[in-house]
Amino acid sequence: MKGILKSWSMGAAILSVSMVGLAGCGQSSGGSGNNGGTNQSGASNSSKPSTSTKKVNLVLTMWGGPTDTKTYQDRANLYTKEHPNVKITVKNIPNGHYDQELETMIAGGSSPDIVEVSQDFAPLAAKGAIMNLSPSIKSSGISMNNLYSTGFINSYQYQGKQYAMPDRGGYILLFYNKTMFDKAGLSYPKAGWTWNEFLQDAQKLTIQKNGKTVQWGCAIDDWWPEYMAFTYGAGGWELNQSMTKATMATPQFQKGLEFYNDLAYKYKVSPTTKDYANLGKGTNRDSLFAQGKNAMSISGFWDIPAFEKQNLKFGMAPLPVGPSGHGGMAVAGTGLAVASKSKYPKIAFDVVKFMTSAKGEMPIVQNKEDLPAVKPDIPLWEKSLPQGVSYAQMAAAQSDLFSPRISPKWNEIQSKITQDFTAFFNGKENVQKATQQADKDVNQILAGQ
Amino acid sequence: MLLNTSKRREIIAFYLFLTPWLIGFLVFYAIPLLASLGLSFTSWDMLQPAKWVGFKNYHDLLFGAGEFWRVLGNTAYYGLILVPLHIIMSLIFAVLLNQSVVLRRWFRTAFYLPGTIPIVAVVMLWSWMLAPSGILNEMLSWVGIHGPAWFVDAAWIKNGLILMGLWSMGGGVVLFLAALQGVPRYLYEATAIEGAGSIRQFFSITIPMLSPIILFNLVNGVIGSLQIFTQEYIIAKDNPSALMMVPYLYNEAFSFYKMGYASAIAWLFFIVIMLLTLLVLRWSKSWVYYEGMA
Repeated sequence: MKGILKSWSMGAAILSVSMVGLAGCGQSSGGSGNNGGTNQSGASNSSKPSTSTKKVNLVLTMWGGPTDTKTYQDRANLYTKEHPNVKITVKNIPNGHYDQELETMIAGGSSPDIVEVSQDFAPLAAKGAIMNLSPSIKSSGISMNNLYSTGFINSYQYQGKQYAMPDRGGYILLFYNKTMFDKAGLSYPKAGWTWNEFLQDAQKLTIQKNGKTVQWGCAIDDWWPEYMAFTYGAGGWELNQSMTKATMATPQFQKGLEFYNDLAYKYKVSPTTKDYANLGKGTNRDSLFAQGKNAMSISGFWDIPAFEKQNLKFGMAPLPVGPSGHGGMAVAGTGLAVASKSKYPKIAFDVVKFMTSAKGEMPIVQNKEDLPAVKPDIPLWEKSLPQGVSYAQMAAAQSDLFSPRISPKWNEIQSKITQDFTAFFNGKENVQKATQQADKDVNQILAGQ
Repeated sequence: MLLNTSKRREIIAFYLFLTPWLIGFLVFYAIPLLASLGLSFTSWDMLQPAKWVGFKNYHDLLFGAGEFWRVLGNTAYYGLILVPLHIIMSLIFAVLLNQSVVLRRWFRTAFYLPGTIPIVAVVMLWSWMLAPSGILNEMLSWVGIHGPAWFVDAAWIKNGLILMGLWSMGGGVVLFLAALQGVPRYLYEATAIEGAGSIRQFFSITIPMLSPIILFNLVNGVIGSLQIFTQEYIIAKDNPSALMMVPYLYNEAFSFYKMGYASAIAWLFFIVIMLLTLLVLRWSKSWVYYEGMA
């Protein structure tokens, strides 16, 4: 009797240990809210966009903070209100490894249905990971130009096909501290102001005390939307139109890049990389502006809640006009794409169509998440701006919106360019050498596999 | 051969107990290992089917643009300077601590604490301390040295990382201190009678008696430090003069969609680490003394 009990208890112990061990094996990275309601065997491409009786569970991947997660879920819930059988789970993936997790999910067979994308859409499109939406757009009769600015539509096109619907319409603009401008007796920046006027303002706004700078006119980083505002303003591009060759070692690009870096090293109106390091790791233009330490910051609309919290009197202005005759504001919004391996592509597109409509983008305005891409909602967003902040100058400069030429090898190319520009941004190399090296390396990448 | 029931039960129990670990080993270790070996001969962007390319990845890495060698150089510089320095310093501190009884416990804790701080916090702290006008350079200026810009100076990033690594690897002191307790007192007494000074004792008694632990730290240190990732990724992943192997591999795999290429990097690096380890072990035969040996 004792022997049997002993072996039973031993067996139970072994079983429970095995369970614990195997439970660890069972966790897949993309398992939550998997797209598997009731089995729609085989033909998931029904002609009706939403099946009225079958329950469907979609997964939407995004990145961002709690406000972003909540806003995407709010918008998804609006769709569920009208189509109760479609439930959408919003999955927040940290920005640092968004690409990695997305690729792993797709490769591992648990692809999401809707994917938030930005510049990374190009490799996804080139590799067929997200669907070409042009046919669906055409058949559903959406008038893209009525709903979105050209800059946003273009930024999600690859080889002439539309791969994502414009979702959030952010772009890189210039914030300025009104209190500092008032103190220096300067008039506020207006659409059409030039590089020279910008520089003069920055010089007047840089204040030194006992040999140390206590207020900077502006604050530059090595982030591409910031320097591209000036290289584009000088008429330069990183790649040629067909994206087969790098074009950074051209006079226009170099002129813009040099003027940009000179702000820190020649005119000393911006901190250098050394100054940033002294101010603490992670300090950049945004934190300095929020702390009231620089007068102008080139950044995006996501900063507005932080500035509001600091009770800053700030204004928005377009980037100054360069030798090319126009300024440059890089499109930095996001789009919504449909994953190719989604089990319900038609329903997913219907959701995307709704979420990027005037109705579906309302929560973006209500939660003050960002600037919506859909034109009808923009006036409502303007109303949500803090007192005294006007969008008028921005509206006057919409033609300056541009999207960089994004090749499928964007990640690799940008990483290489950042590496090659590091010495230049540290003030240790001249612009000719830096751009020539960057061209050489990028051409190698473009020619490679 | 008829096994009696109790023997058989024992054997069954053995395999049953082994099974959970075995499954885990296969699923999380052996199978992915073999899979990555297979992947290293393909070109795979994770989104489309893998394409067989034979030895092309290896060829490009070893004879191509030279990035692999540069990164290997950076990694070797870091690992092969950090580990010996760390062992020497830990040994010296442990021997010093072995003298005093009262403060020993306090110092032991103090040395071990930095190793328990989350890596990201350590990076923040050291980025601030090694700022161009930060504390370290401030102290250097008191002795008339103009400190470099550390993490902002391409030539000094690796050295900054070494400093940071030295500070946070406190476990070595604790290990050596424990090992020192095992060195028989009579050895020191006997040699003291013969007239040996403390330095002679250190080299002739302490080090040989501690050599197995030193070897352990050396091998583990080399393997571990060459695989540095988190701190390197935060501070210097975009700086070619400081890029190291694992961040390089990670970028190639997940940011540049070159999983096959990255797998080849991983296997080449594995071969390098294995060769280094074998070298250390071969060399150890000449200076490691195991008690119980003739």
